[in-house]
Amino acid sequence: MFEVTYRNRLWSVPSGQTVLDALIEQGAEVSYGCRSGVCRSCTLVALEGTVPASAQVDLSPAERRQGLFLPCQCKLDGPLVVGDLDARAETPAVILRAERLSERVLGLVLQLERPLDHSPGQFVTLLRSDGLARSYSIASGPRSTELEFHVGLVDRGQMSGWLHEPAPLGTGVRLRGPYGKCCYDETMPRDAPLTLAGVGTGLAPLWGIVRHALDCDHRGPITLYHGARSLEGLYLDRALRALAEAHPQFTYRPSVLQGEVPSGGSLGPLPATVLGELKAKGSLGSHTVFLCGEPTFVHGLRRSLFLAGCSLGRIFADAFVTTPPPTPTAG
Amino acid sequence: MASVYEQLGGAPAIQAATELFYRKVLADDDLAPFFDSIDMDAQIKKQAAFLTMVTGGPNQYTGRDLRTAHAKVVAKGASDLHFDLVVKHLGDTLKELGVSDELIGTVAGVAQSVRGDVLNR
Repeated sequence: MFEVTYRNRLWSVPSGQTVLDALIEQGAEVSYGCRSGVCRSCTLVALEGTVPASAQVDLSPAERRQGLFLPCQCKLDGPLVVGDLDARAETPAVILRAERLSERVLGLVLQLERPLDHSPGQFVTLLRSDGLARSYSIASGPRSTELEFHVGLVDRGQMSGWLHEPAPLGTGVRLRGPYGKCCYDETMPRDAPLTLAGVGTGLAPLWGIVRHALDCDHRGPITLYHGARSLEGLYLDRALRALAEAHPQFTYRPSVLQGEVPSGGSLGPLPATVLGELKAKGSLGSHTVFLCGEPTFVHGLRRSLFLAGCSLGRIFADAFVTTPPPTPTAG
Repeated sequence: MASVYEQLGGAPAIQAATELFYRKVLADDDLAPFFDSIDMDAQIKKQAAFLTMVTGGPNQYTGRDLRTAHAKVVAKGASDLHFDLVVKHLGDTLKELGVSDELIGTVAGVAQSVRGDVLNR
C-alpha cells in the first residue's frame, strides 16, 4: 500500500492495483479511456517520487523528462505526488460539422482555436467539458486547421453516443496530443510501395495518411484496403474511388465479409486478402505497411506480415481499443 | 579478438538479426505457443537483449533476469527440446548472416551456459 497525493488529497493505492483504478474506485474525478495503456486519456504528471518504467513505455523521451505517465499502467513501488496535465498544453476547439458517413459512422469536423502541429494518422484525446475523454485518429489531410475524425458508434458508448446524437454544432471541446507514430514519413523514398489496411473506422487514419502521401507527391504504388461487414460499412467508397480516378498510383480495394461484393473488391476476411496479395507481389521486405482498426485484426495481420518477411520497423500499426461501457455500480 | 557482436556490426545489426531470429522462432510450431502474447514489441526487445548477450555484446542480463523472464514459459512446459530448438534457430540466423561455424559454436556455447537459468533448474 502506497499513498498518492493528487489535488491536495491523499489516496491509498493497494499494492498490485493501478493508480488509475485506485483513483476511480475512491471517487476521484479523473479522465480515462481504454485503461490499457493505449489511448493516453488518463495521462498525469508526476511531481515527486519515481514512476515505474512500465507507466512510461510508449511516451516520448521529452514526455518522460516532464514526468508524464499513464496511471492505468502504474503500479507503485513508493509514494508519489501527481498532478493534472497543464491545461495550457490542451487545444480548445469547437464542433464545426457533423456529417453522417454511414448508419454507425459520424464524420466529425472540429475547428481548432489555434494550429496544432500534427501528422495525419496520429491521434488526439478529445475531452468533453465534463472531463469525459476518448481518443480518435486524425482523418484529415495535412496542414489543416480543421481536424476530421470518424466516430464509430459504440454500443452504450458515452462519447460516441453523445457525438452521434449529434452533439450541437459550436459545442466547445478540448484536445490533448497529438500522439502516435502511425503516419506518413516525409523523408521516405517517394517511390516506395505503400500498403494500408483498415477495418471499420480504422479507415480514418489511413484516409489522412493516403492524402498526406499524395500531397507529398508520393509516386510509388499505394494500395488501400478497407474491410467492412457489408457494403454499407464501406463509408468512404465514393470518395476513395474518386481519389483513385485522380491518382493513377493509388488503388482502392474494398472488402466485405458478406453480401454483395463491391466492384474491384473482394469477399472474405481482410487479413487473408492482404497477405495473399502482398505475397503475390513479392519483395515484402520493401513494403511499408499501415494497419489500423480493432486489435485482433491489427495484431494478427502484423504478425502474419512479419512472418511473411515484412520488417517490423516498416509496419506502422494502430490498434483501436474500445473503452468498456461503465458497469452499473460505477454509474 | 573482436566479439561476434562487433563482427556483426553492433547494435543496428543486432536489430536486423533479431528480426530474422524472432521470425524463425515464431514460425516454429513447437515454439510458437510460448510466444502467443500479442506484445511483439516487448518480445522482440527481449530477443535483442538475448542476442546481444550470447554474441558477447554489452548487456545487463543476469541469471536471475533469465529465470524471472522465463518462469512463465517453464510453467507452460518449456523443456530441453524447446531450448535446443531456440539454439538451432540462433545458429541458423547467424549462418544466414555469414558468421563462421567456429564463431557460431562459440555463441552456442554461451547460450548453452544459461540453459539452467532459462529452464529454471
